Amino acid sequence: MEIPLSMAIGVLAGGGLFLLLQRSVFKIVVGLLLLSHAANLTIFVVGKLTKGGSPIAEKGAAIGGFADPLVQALILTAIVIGFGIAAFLLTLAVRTHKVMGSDDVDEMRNLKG
Amino acid sequence: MTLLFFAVPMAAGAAVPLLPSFMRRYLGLYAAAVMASLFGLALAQVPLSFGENTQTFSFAWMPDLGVNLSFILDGYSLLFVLLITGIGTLIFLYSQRYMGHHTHILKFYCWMLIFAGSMLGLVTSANLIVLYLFWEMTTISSYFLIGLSDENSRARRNAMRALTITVLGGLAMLAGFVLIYITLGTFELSEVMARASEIRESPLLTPIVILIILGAVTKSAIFPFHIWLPSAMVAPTPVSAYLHSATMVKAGIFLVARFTFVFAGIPIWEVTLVVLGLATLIVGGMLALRQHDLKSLLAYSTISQLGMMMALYGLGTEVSEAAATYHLLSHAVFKGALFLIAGTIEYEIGSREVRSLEGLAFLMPVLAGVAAVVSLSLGGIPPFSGFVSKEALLDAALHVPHSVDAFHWVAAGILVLGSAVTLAYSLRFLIGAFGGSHAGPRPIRPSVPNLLVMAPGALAVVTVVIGVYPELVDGGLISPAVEALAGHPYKAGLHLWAGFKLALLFSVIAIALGIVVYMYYQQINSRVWMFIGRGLTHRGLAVRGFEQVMIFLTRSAPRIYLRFQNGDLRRYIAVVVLAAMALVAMALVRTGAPPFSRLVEGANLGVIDLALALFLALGAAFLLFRRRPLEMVLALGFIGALVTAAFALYSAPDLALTQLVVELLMVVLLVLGISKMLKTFNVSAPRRVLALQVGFSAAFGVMVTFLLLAVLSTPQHPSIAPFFLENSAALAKAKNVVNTILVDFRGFDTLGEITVVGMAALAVFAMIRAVREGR
Repeated sequence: MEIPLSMAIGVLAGGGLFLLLQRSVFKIVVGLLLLSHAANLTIFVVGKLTKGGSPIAEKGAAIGGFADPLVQALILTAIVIGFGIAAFLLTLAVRTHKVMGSDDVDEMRNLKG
Repeated sequence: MTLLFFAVPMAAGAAVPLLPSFMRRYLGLYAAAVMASLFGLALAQVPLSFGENTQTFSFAWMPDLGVNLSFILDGYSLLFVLLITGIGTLIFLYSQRYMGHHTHILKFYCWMLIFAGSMLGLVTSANLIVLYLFWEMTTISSYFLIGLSDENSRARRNAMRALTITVLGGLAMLAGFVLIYITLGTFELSEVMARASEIRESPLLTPIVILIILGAVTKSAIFPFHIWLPSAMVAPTPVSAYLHSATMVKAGIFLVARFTFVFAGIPIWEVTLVVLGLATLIVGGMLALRQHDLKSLLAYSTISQLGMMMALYGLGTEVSEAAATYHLLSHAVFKGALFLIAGTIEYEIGSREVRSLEGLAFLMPVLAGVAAVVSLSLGGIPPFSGFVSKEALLDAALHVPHSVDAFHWVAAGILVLGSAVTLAYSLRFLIGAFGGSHAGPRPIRPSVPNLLVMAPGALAVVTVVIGVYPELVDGGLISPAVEALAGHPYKAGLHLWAGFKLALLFSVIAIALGIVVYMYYQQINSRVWMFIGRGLTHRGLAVRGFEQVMIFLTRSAPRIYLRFQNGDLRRYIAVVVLAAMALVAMALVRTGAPPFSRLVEGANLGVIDLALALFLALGAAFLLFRRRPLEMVLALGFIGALVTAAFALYSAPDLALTQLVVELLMVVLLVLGISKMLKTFNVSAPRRVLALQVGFSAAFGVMVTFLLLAVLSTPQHPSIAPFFLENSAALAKAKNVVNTILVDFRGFDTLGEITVVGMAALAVFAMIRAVREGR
């Protein structure tokens, strides 16, 4: 199960990096979101994939029947923080666009104080 | 008790700016009172400092790193403490008058006191890291004192030069200490001494020795690192007298002396120190003879004398240690006095130029008397302390455990030559300034202030007393100091009249030769030392070379910096990703290909797993080929839905729920964002750049997949998940393990996360309002 998902993660990461390298701030935001998907899934896969259970501490529950709960907790934090950062960056882009009439990072570099 | 010595002056120094304004006229007296009380305290310790009564103090500061606030007051420390506080008292009394209404008077006393504290801390520290800290504190206070007149560009530049050289040496010394720690696992001086044999057998011995010598020779201005000391003379005279002759420059000597016990007899230690020390003795002496500025003359003389002490400690026998220790004491006394005399001359006449001075003996007869005593002491004329120490030095050079070999004969010969040169420039100082007829320059002030004569006068009295009666300091100071260095009882036995020994003959030769050198020094200057002399002075080639290196460094640093920090976001990303890829490639080369076959073995592939991965990849590809923002957002939403599905499929319902909510919100936000921005993208990269980006990103994607598969195919540490599973209900009283981890076991992480999201929300809110209000 891990192999195909790992390949898909590679596509997400590569695509995310490609968008990060573009000049448009909007594309950079989208690239960042793709990269964070890739990162979350990476942590998830490393915690081993299992089907058909949930981490509820019932009698007789044992590790292996569901995804590693620690990994899940980490990803949950990552999802929320990734969302916060993307939202912040997006608003920043909108604001900059309003002021400059452009969303090109190269043009922003030439903007002085 | 031992803590008082460094703590009191530091506190007093820090308090200087806070003192009431009427005190500002009496800061010299204030500082002198501080030093005098410490001197009294130290004097009271003299009988206590023998063997068993050595005082120590230790406080665990960073015990895991072997760093303790350890202090020791043994014979050797005590000698330095007495020097620092005693000479300090006189220097501060002198400054009371000499510094007068100097513009930077507060800064001066502040840093002088802090320096005194750091120096006292240095000589009493018993932990190598603590010693290093105080070592650098003396360097820093020296920097501020050399550059005291910070409006003067020359002062700033010279201060920087001194700082650069001594800090580089200090870092080398620190590296040496760390190597000692690697060898022994301790920074404690007592333990280093106790386990000296382990260091001597360590494979790291040579680097340790070289690094520690580097620290010592830079601090003590030993050739070829001497160039900073003459340029430090730009500082006010009390600073030169105190830091750059009596105390701070002796820190390197102190270091060598402390480590003699560990390294004595090791060829590289002995030969390096003796050769560098003797070279410094001769070079410094000859350069001193060439100087026309009194302070420069004294600076080179100090360099020369430091070299001699360095060589003597390098010989590493008890006799040489005793001689060097006695000379250290007597040098501090007479050299401090000589600097103060130079300062008084400048105060009174307005010049320190030996060629423009003449007949000052008529103008200032008392000062002339004092100057005669101390400069003859420097020159090694009986019955002053300089004579006694020179006798002892010559004796020590010939007094070795085995038979006297060529090395020691040469060393003794150079010592004789050095003593001759020393006498020559001492005479030049004395006769040049005070000798001659009435026709000298006119004073710029009506009369010489008493303090400016009394301070060097007191030192002159000391040099006479310990010269005529060396037994006075022998039993109480010198012998305990050597005991502390050698680790066993020792009796130095210094006398003014040591009997008819070879040393006496050498001494007589040195004096005769010195008078000859003085009479013909101009000829010697112009012929023999023309070339080398020019190269090595503080205005010569050595300094110019040093300056060129500094200029090169300061010019090339921004060039390298700007190459990397040019503000281009894409370049930063590329550098980070390339570095990561390089690391992975290196790891791959080292470990070989991971065992991928293990992955395939237990694979349990269903159609649904394949379909999920395929759609994820297709979604990402679709996103990349869209030109319009709205289409990209739709594709992103599609991918988000698939990620949610993946979480749901692989048993992570909490993640699926969170991802779903976040994904919905994100799509809404992005659509809102688009409505405020461009509908299409108007910039597109050139084809060549695009191809590069595609290749780069594809390589990155491949690397991520490869890395992931490599991780999965290697055995992992056991998960700590069972702990949470077992304790979730028991400790956190809840059954959903993911939730208990988030809000209970790792509650503070979540608190941090909430803070981040909260701040992002605030910023978003503020910007949205700004956009709406049209600002």
